[in-house]
Amino acid sequence: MNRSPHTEDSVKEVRNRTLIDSTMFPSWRTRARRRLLAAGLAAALLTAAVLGQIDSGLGATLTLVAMLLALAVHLFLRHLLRGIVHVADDALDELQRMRKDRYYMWSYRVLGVVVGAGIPGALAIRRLIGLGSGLPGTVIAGLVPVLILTVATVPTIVAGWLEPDEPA
Amino acid sequence: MEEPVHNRVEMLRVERGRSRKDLAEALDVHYQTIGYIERGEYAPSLHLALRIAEHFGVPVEAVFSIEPFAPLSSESLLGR
Repeated sequence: MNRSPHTEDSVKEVRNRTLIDSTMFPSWRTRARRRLLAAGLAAALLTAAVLGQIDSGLGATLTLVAMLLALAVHLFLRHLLRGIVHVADDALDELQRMRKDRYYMWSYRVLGVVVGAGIPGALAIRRLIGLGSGLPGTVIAGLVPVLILTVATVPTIVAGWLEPDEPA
Repeated sequence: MEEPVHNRVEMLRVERGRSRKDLAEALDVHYQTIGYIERGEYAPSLHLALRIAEHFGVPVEAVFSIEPFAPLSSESLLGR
């Protein structure tokens, strides 16, 4: 692709601006710590999904707290990952694009399991423990935001788990 | 498992007194990518490999190899 020198410079500027170039929290920039955060984020989402099925004000409040915690962990993990899963491909070099593609591939697999097995599994468990075979409207209203947050954060969880340690 | 690709990128870079960031800027890649290439943890695309060789002014086979490079002090290189 032929670009003028001015376009090349502006592309490089966009690239430098969109990837998070930070050295904050150096002790958290290890794979082990990122995996801990990824697991914590997944646990917070699962907790929100379970609490969201409690059809009461307390259930809704606890669900909201779990979701806010999940969001905070997601933002911190995203910062540590330099935003690699959220920036446009133009801002990434070939290796970063390859890793991003891999993270999204695994994200689709995880979401497939969540939707294909998680939701029917939860309904079956509700039936087993005597909560009925369906979901009340209020519970659905509480779980939809959790599902949206899950879809938005799974790529970050996957990247946090798979991203290798930065070269010294 | 992918076959490893051996390279002399770090050696050539250090010879010229360049940092990873300098080389990354010259090649328009992220400096961590240079680090992964030097450690042998990433085999660059053909296009990037050719650009790296062109940047150092050496043939691409002098930079990358599927066999380990012989040490420069080896007898074969000294013509013995």
